[in-house]
Amino acid sequence: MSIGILILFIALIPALWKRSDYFVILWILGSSFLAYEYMEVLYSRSVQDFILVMPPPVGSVSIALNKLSAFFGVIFALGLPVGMFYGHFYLKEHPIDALRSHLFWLGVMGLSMHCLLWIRHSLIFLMFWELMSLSSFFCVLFSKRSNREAGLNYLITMQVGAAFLIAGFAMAYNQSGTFDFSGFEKMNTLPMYLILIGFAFKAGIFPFASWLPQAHPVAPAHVSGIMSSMLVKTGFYGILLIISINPFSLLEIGFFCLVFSISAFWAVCHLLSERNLKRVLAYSTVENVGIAGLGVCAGLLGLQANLPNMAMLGFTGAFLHLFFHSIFKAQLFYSSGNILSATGTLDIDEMGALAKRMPYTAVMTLIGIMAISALPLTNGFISEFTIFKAMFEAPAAAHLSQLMPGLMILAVLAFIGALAIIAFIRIYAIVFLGSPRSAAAENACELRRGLRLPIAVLSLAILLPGILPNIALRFVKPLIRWFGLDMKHFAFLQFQALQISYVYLILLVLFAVFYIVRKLLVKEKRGATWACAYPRVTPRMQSSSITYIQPLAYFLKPFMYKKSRRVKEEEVFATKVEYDEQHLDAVWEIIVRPVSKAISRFLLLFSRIHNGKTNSYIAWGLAFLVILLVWVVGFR
Amino acid sequence: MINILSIIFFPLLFMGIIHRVKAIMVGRKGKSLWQNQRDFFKLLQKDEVLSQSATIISRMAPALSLAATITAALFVPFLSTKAVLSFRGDFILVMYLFTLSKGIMALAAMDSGSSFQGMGTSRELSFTAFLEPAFFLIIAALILSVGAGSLSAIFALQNVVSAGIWNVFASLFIAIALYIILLVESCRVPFDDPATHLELTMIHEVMVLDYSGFSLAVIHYTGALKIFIYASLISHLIIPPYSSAVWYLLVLAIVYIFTGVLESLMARFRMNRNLELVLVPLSIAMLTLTILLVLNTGVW
Amino acid sequence: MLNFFQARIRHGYQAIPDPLTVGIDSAFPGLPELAEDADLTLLNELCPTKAFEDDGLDLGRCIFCGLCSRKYPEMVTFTPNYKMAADSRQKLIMAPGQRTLPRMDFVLPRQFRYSFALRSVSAAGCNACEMELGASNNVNFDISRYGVDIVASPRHADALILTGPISHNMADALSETWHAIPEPKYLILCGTCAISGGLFAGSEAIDRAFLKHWQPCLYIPGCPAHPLSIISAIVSIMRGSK
Repeated sequence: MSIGILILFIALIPALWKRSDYFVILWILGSSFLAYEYMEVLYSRSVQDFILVMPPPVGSVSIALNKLSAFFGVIFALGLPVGMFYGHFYLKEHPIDALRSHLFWLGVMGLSMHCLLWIRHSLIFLMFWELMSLSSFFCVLFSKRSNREAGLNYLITMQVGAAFLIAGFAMAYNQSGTFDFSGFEKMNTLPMYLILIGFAFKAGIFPFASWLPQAHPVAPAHVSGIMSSMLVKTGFYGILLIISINPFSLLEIGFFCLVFSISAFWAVCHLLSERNLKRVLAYSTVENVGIAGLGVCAGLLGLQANLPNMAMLGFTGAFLHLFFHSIFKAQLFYSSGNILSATGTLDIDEMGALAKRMPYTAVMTLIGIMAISALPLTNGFISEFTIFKAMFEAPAAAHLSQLMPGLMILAVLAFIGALAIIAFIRIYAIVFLGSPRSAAAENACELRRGLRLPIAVLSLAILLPGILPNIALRFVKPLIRWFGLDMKHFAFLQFQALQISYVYLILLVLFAVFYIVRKLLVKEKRGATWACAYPRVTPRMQSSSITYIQPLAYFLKPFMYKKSRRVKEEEVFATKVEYDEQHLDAVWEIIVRPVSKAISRFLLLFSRIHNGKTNSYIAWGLAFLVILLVWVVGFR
Repeated sequence: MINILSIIFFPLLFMGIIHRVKAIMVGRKGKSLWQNQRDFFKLLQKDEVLSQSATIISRMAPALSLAATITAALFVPFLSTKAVLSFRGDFILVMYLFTLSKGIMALAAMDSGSSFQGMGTSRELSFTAFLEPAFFLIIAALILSVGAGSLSAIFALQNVVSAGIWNVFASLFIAIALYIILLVESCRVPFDDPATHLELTMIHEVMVLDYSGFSLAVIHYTGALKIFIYASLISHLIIPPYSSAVWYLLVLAIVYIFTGVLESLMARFRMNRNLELVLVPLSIAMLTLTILLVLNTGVW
Repeated sequence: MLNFFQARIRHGYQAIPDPLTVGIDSAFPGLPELAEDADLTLLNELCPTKAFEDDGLDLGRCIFCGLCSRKYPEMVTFTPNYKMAADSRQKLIMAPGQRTLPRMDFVLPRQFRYSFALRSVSAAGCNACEMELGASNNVNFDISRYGVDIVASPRHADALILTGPISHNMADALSETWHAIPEPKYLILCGTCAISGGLFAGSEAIDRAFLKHWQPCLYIPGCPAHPLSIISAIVSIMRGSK
């Protein structure tokens, strides 16, 4: 079979012996082999194919890689070793007792992610899917009591998603008679939507994404980085799998556009009001998945409206966005891990002026922030540029109903992009700039090189495709050809990418000129910040995270579900005034929580069955089996 | 090329028109047309004072902002209708270069850690959040009616005069929307008062409160260049394609004069009302887009 | 809006054509002239700020109240000459028989010839000088035609124009503002209170230590300093006095 997977399997052994260094080395080795194999599949025509024959009802399991799996495989093979490398050093900073089991489940999670891409049999796929959810659950737990609630929420949500998947796969089997993925072509509506919903749970699409902002902040930095950048991509892989072999009508495409737009918009509204650094990044993952989804919708619209240019651009943008997102999101999560290690807190209202104390992390996080806001010179811009170009092809459509979704996506995407920029400037400014808001921030210092190296590597990976987009385009080309999209326009896109590189050259040259001129000409002096000569300026007089978005809150008030608490004495000169605001997740608070409470209360009605006696449990089991027998066999 | 010379010489000169108009409106002698350029050269020869908490971002932000704005200006048609650079879909890059310039200035403003900066930055970014979709929808509307691909081609080919009464209306609306975008992006009345630096009107000015010398000169020039770019776009929108440069200069001057008159007649609006007004370009863009859709795709 | 245009047309063009050479009402108490035989001790007893102590009338201490010229009109007369600025403290003293102030040697460097930004610090005076300073930027006097601008942030300023005698509370603020101005920077004192403390000289509430460290480049006497004095003073250091 594959050497890479074998090496990754062997990597579990040092994990069990708590040797995280050998674990990481084996991971890097295995991932390199895997990356080579995936690239081979992408660029050459050979498709690795094995058929494993297993007893019925499983039947023959085909283990193969097509170009889509290979593309995602490369993303995983490049991202996972960086994550493991970072994790090795992170675990040194934050040691835990159960290192053995954490490393083991980390290895299993990575291994199952890779194996998923090879399997083309729905039952075995489900098996690895569940393995992936379970292992990531254990990784999230990180042997901390406080992580338990978030971890359990995550696990249960994943099981609900898996339930949808099981139902969908079962109905597809009924319809097509085979477990193989080839049976998913031209499915009926119900199984297709069940499967899509099942994958949507994993990918983080509204309204199934409430687990993301709960699980990612409590997980350790390397785990949240891996989960956010790669685990949710497996969900999107599943969605792309279904989309690549099923046709969709215009109405369905419009519906997808709506869902992705709402998902991204919901995520951005929450982004703006969060104080926990990792929660912000988690919501941003939901938003970026929404943007990639909008790219896919643009591609589908192009196919529907017979605009090959739009189709090609839409899908290219979506793939590029998925690839780049995994890079910059992982980088930002690792940076947040560094910040946590340096200051001990994730609350941005307690940070400030970290740029002076952690200069390297500050510069690299700036690159990550620029990437996530899709500012030029970074790879985030390239993917959003491609998706925007896809939208601007829409006016060439013949029919109004094909044009409208395209224009709607355009407005939504631009708006979301602008809001995301505001949100991330806010984060960066409050965390890194200004003056320190707490003693923790004052005492922060730069961390060891091992924790900075992965971030530096990822920053390079952000800037390089940002400035020379053709590198990434060459990587996506075989996938686009496999999808059957227009290659002539792709060549044109590559030419435009070259032009963008020239423009960047001009930009950088101008910037260098102005900066050097300034450095040569200007004599600098340091003074206090100008605050109108107010003598008692304290760090608390800077903007806090909530005040920063106050003008925007004027518009976004209807979209934010807020609970505020106000304590004020009724005197004329009140000495005690308190105000506290909490922005809550509307889906979780209004829908999920009451439902789960209702289920718990309903189940409590059966508490009399839990009497602790094994005999009564066997009796109940027997009764159930008898009823089942009667129902299935019938009264004959 | 002519456009590069326009970028270098015209922005500060045309800002002088606004001063002169305001002076004439009030009946005073006022600053001369060349005052902005004199200020610019004086500032270049001054030293700088930087805050204790300023990092390298404060030092490099004006340079990056200017570089981004000039690069964006290379795509815009000025005196000659062919821009220095152009390719299909370049308006996305232009808009994002503007955003880069604004974003890095916002970060640099937050760098000094005073309480003013956060207020100004948040207001400025909130206002301009709604301009991006408006601009893109305007471009989409223009692509629908003109069919060209790059920024300079779209604006140079847009013809107001011919092609039916509805096209005239649409172009007029687009010009109004672009003008409002101009006012917001360059922080002029009624969104922000560039003359005062008080808390009431602290939006853009507060971001430059901590800058001096060379950086301040660069920031002033960047602001002037931005308003020049938008005014050029409006001017090219209104004048028929392939007409002479004299008409372009005339309409450009009219845009500036109108800005000066507006600034003399109005005060800055209340902040909440400003937030509502910022949605106007977006609604105009959607309205225009609908008109052009109905006209061109022949549904009705 | 129409009201605006109506008012504008009715007001007409109200700017003074040339503030540097315009004449002023003869009742204006401008540059004082001492007679050759003026009895300085007699005048000093009368003067509220003891401006006749050094050998002559010290314009930096004179509050232009006119007590001396009303009691002894043969010894002191106030001429309507508003050009009263000097670039050193010594030059402000009018000896008996002196008809004009000595020429100003100080000229700003070339880059400030047509563009000069002032930052005004109001250090606990009676506010009359601040009002006159503000008036110098109005439609009539209009100092902005010479490129002079009053800016809000000291980072944008070239000079600090000080009005008021500097109380304890303002001493630190003044010093901070001064340090926030980038080089090359200049200090201008406007009004008698700024130059010498005026009526408040010697009070325990003022703290003029700032002026011991930093040398002003321009003194504009007057109580309050007339806009025309301010304009002619500032323009003469920008472009050189004729």
